[in-house]
Amino acid sequence: MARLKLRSVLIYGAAVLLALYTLVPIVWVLLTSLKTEQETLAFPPRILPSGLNFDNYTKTILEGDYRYYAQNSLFIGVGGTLLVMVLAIASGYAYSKFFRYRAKNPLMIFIIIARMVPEIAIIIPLYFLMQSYGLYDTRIGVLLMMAAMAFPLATWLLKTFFDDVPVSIAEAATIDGCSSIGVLLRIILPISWPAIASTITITFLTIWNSFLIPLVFTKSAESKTLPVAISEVAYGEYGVNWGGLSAIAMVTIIPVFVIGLFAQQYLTAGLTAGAEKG
Amino acid sequence: MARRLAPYLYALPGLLLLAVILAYPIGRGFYLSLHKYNLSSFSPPEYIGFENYKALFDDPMFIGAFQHTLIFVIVSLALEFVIGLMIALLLHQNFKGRNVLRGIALLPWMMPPVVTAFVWAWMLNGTYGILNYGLVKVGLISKPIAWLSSTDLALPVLIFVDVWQSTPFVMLVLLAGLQNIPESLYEAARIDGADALRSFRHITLPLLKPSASVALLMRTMIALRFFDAVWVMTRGGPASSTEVLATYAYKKSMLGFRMGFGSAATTVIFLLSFVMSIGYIWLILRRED
Amino acid sequence: MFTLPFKKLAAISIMLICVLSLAVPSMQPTAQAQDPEKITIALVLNTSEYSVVEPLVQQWSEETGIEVEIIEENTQTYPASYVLAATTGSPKLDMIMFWDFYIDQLYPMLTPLDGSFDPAISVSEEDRADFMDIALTDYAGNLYIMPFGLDTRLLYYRTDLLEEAGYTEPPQTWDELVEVAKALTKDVDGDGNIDQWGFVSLGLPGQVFNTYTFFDFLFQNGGRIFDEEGNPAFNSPEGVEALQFMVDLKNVHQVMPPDVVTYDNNEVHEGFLAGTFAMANHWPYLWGMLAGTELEDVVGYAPQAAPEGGESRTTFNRWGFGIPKMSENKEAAWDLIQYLTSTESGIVEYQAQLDWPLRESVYRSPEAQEIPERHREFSEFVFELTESYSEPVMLPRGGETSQILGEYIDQAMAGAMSPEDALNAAAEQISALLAE
Repeated sequence: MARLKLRSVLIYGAAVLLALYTLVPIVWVLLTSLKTEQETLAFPPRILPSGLNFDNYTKTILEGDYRYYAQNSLFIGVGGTLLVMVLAIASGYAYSKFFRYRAKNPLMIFIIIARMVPEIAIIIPLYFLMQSYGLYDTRIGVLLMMAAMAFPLATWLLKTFFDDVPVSIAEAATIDGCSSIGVLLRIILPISWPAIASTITITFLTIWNSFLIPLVFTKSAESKTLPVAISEVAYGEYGVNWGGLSAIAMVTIIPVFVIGLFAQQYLTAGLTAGAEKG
Repeated sequence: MARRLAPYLYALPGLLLLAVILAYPIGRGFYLSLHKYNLSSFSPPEYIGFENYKALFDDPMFIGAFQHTLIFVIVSLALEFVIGLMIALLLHQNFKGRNVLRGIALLPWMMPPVVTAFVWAWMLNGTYGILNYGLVKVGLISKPIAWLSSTDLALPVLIFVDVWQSTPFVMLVLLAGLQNIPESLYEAARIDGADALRSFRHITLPLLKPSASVALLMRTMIALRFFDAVWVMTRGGPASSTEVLATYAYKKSMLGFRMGFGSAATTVIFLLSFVMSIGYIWLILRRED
Repeated sequence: MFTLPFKKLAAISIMLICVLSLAVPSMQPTAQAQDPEKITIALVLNTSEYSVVEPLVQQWSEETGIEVEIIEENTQTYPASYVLAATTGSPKLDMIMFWDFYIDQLYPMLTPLDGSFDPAISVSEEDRADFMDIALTDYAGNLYIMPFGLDTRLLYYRTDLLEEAGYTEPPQTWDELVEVAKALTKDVDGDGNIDQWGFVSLGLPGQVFNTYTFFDFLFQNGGRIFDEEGNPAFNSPEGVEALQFMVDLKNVHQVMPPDVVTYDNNEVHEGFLAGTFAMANHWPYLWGMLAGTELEDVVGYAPQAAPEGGESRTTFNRWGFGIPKMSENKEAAWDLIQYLTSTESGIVEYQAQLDWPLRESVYRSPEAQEIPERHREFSEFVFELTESYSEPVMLPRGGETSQILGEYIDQAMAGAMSPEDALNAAAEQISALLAE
């Protein structure tokens, strides 16, 4: 009995520490977004705002074009993630242990290498490329670029997780006459669901928080995304606009948090599946 | 016949995307690194062979950036994996509120890196920061600490910020890996009389290797490119103590428009990534056969 | 076997996308027709000038019937943006707004505005007489920028704090500056930590921060940044002395806080407003920020101090407009520029009390006399300062050379290098850079 209690104490202790370590800066952003400018810049620092002041939100979101930025982020985020997932599931399958062919290793290496090149290296040539495609300053252009950047990681993650699927089950299905795509859709995907949920989360976040590419490749409200809004709001006339920055940051974080919660359910479902395995 | 073609068909769309978007820019980057090319002068690129690379290694700032980047990557990754594994293990246990905690643990990684940088810069501000204020109030220190303007502390602070931000990613991958380990293996071990530590060493760690490798690989490549937080918090200072390869490359290409020289710097980042990942890649590929 | 709602998820996702794309209003990208009825301009968003320029542009658009598409730029990225636009020819900008600090990297893409390209695009004689001489400084032999707002630097000081310490006049020499600053650096609340500092100036390493603090001292000591041939001249004995003075302020006399090396505009003006600093070398906008605060009546301004035998000098820059070579609507763009830099627009700008136009007629106009005296007196001081004590700062390869210089200055400030070594190293690197 005592051992159980010790375990609980340790676990809950660790949980509290983790929560504090994680939440303090985020709560700070939340509180700053609700303060007036004087309260934000006060020294000694004020922790709590005197009241809930939504000025920062109204000023940045309702005035100005930032709601369009939010819509663009959503379009690029959801669209990009969908594109990546479809391509990565197919590619992850192609590079998994379920196939053997000579070009497999070179192709995998190629994909990793494609991602090793830093963004700064490709920004300028990509600029010229997008201009020639006519995709400069368009949502589709940004979506394609983000998808290309997120694709290698998603592929690798899925390949690794697909490799964990027991061969026996797949073989059994093949013997029963299942085609390769059948094996993918009916055997592998269901088992790898938690991994897929994780991959979706990672991909969406990478695309959603992307900053450098949207910054350089968008010029108008039709294509700018939320991180671009952050840099615009942040660098005010003379310095950093903390209130506005915090408000936009909250707007950027909340949808992602919601998606994270959504993905969580499938992580949990996957746990039950895992227990049934083997 | 269809069976043989199958993998190529599955792989094709992805490869097409990469080819259409990334092939030209990557190639151009390498090409330009062998040329002298200033964007604002409107004269065409001039071939100069490896001069750019020679100039790079003659520049003490570059050497410094190189060293700082390596230190940053190694220390950050070590911390992220240790802490990430600890958190993943915690979240793998069954307890009330676990799901909520999992959501919370993911939050730092959900923040846009630019915002994280701003927030921490603000909290660590030498004069107005709340951290210093808190520490002084509690009596742990007598004078506010100049976190970001001290040549000794600036890089560790950046490492901390990256660890805070990126550990959830590692945790997520490790957690997925943990959840893929069949419970039956642990049961069998228990029946054989193994205690928790032995199970951990002989079951958990080995089976985590694949997912850990992928996470390590990807994190290494991303850490080598670390830019946002440095630019916002220190711009490479104080006294260039936090200059990293990415900020160096940015200053040369975006501020100076010296595309040739800047491309050489980014190619070095690429080569570094390549060299550092050869180990993992070989390991991962070996398991294929 | 756990049955997977895969198809369900796919269906939901597709529905979600459809719903989203319907909900998002379709904003058609504007046509890129080469229409004389429309021009494309780039304005820098996060500047005080923008809030005055943008309405003026709209007004001009209404009066002339020419549509204007405004592309919004950011102070952090606009030079790169303009150069990229010029290289690819898209977007085809007809007019750009920029700070003349970057003129060396931008002038290859700009049209001369002094009639040498097209006689119709030229500043008239009357206008030349009306603008301050320094306002129309050319570069590489031509005029590429029409000035809208000036930037120069001055000394702000707390009259109340100086009086308390027994000083009725602001310091005029470097020695006096040190003396006064020392007297005003103290621990006010008795907790053992210094919370009031005698002096502050920009210290962040980088293009327009600690470099400008250095330039002030350099000019005051009779030094130059570059010589006539375009070689670095800041590592002259005068320059070394200037940097030594700057470094000593922090490390020897300790009248600047140790973390001054992280200060950009934000920290300087916020600190001054909060009463942390007794004196500051800073830009004119700070005066506007003081209005309405408790410090409104206890802040004085003066030219910056100079060393014995030197004279008070400071830097000069302009926000202004230029016409890219690629523009196919140069005459319309020139018309807009003249409108924005006219006396009438200058009056509007002056009335907004955020920026300072460069035409004398604005300051002598009847409308100007109605501006609150406090601002008017300050403005006339700034005007005089610019005419008599300022030197233009337009560096070759400005973005990069200043970054290099700033970083070496930072090394000296941190005590990692001696001022002489730092400046020599910077000069060497910059010379190598320019020789390419």
